[in-house]
Amino acid sequence: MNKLMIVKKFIIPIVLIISGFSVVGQEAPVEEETVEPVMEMTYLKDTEGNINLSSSMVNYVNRMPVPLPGLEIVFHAGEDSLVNLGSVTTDEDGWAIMELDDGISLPVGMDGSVRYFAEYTGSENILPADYEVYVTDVNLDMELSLVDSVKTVSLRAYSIIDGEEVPVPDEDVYVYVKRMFKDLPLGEDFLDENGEYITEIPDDIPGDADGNIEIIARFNDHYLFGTVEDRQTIQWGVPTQYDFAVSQRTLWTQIAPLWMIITLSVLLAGVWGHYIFVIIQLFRLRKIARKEESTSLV
Amino acid sequence: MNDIAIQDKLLAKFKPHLESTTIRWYLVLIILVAIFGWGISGLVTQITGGHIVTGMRDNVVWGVYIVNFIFFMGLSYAGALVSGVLHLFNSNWRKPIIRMAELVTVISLIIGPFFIFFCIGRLDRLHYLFIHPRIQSPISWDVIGITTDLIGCFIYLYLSFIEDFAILRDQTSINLPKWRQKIYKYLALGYTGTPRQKKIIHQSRSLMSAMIIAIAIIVYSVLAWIFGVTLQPGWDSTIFGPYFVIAAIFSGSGLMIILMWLFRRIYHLEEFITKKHFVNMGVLLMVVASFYGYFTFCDYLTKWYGSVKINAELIDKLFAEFNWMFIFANYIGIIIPIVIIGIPQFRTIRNISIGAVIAVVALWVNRYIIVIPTLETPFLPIQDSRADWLSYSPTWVEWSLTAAGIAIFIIMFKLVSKFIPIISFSEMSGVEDRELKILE
Repeated sequence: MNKLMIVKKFIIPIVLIISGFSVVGQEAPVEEETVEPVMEMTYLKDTEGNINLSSSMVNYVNRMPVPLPGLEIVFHAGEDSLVNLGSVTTDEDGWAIMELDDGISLPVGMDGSVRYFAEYTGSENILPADYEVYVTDVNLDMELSLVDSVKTVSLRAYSIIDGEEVPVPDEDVYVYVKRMFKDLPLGEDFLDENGEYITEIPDDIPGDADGNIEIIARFNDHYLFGTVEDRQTIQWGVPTQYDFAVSQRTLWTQIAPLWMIITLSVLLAGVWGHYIFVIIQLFRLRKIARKEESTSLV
Repeated sequence: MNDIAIQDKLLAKFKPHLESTTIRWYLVLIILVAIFGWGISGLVTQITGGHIVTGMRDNVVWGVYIVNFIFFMGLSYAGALVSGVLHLFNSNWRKPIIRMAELVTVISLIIGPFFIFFCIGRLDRLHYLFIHPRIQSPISWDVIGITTDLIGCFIYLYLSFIEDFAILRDQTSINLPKWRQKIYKYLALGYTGTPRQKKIIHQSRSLMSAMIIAIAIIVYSVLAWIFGVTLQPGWDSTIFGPYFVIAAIFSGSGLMIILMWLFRRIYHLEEFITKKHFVNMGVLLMVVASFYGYFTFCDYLTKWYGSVKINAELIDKLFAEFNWMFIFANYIGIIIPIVIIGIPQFRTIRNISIGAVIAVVALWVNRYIIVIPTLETPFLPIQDSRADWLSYSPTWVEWSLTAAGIAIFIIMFKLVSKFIPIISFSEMSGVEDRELKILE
């Protein structure tokens, strides 16, 4: 077979195969798609009266939400003349949480509500998005007391109008106790004409080692008030006794069962012992060779 | 004919392959390197794009990679068992093929674990396996076992090479470059074949062959327990340990026959690797195929008879979606090798080799239907999961890395067989005259 034939029969097809693979391996450049983000915002007034505005930014891909991190969200309050509340960048989960400064003056509308407005101005491949919520400021007070040895929660909701406390009647309010994963509902009802609600706490709720439980009163994503809550910790639970004794030798604890350690150690010692013996034998082999070489030279 | 004469014959046989390299050898190498390069492009795509470029999703978290891992590890353990058993029983017919078995052991053992690395999402945490090992975890057992096995197999392989390194060092009839002669001299450890040296080598090899048989059985059982100790349908089986060991010997015997056929043709070793070798290995394949079929039947029968809902779902899936794979892996792949070798009229070298190819491919498919259908049959739906994530189909990235694994296996075999003959000179020295056609 002459060289030309070899080139024709083998080299050219191989080059074609390799180039074919490299073409297969490369993906065609994909034009970056424009992202149409979906924004949402929630309002939370906590026990201390601090207001948090939480805005989420996601992009729906195949009906599944994908968080959009690193986007700057600007928060405003007001209708016509906007008050800039500040800006926050979304985190890895697509959340931007704005805590309003104490004593900030918020423009109140004719109906007594405040318009909160979050805005993303957009970028080259992400479209702008905004979201607004109207919230009427309300206060929710919770009092925990023993009434005839019954653990009682008393709630009172009111608004401040012209410096006076005005009860908030007929609104849906909830009482929970905090648990590890989700809050456990203990009571739910409409406030009476005085803006009050009373419920009882069972005696058998497990607490921490001292019997502390955290009780939460809340307007839960309310259509007028957003989320407003009051949390208090009290020693009304059953103390939980954690067993901090020396952990047992089990499959699921830090230390393995003894039989397992012994079996593994015996097996490994046996195997590696033989390896070491054979390696020593190899060194002996070389030593014998050197010895015999020097003897033959003599 | 004495030992020196046999060595001379073998040296003359392998002289052209050791001295020079043909264009065909290079061409095959280029093709294999091209396939390997395709795998590398797949790997780069996976590293840059993430595991989303594979077919693996939330439900099916193990795909073709783990199938390849089990398959290659099986080949390795089978090589260890075959070479170890053949060495211990000191049967003469084994001698021309024992080196192939040893090489299968080491090369497969080097390639196999790479498929685990391709599977891992956070490779940067790989060292945690060593710095935070949990003795209770089968994954830790597997890491310890594979490392121990790899070192043991290297020692065993090296022991079998020493005498041949010495022969190559001392020969004058082959023109080898200086650097190769130096390497042979260094690796031969000054072996000259004195009775003391022979005794040391013989003792060490016997010891190591017994060790690697034991390690192969333990380590492959550990691999089986990674599946067996879970409560997944299809995996939670007490016979998975021995079942995997038998399956490994089945695939390893098949691969040995394929390699014997290939090297016999490439190096024209018809005088050394005779029909007797094919028949003997074929008989081993047939016996192991029978055991493998029996284990398969036991495993599926007990699952089916128990009528546990999740097992019933799995078996329904195997006989519906994986129908042809199941038939090929568990009927065709077992029956055809048995028929070919069991009926004397069919027992030709070509037929036995075809039977071996069917056995090896069937074993790979068997691993596929052990891994994938189980992961596609979860006990509970995963939250926010989608129906199309439940079905697995490998992407070109996974196939490219699979092809690369096979390519690098052949490349390593080619390179090693260029450096040291694929038939051991020293082993053959002891073959009685009647065992070889060449001496007739």
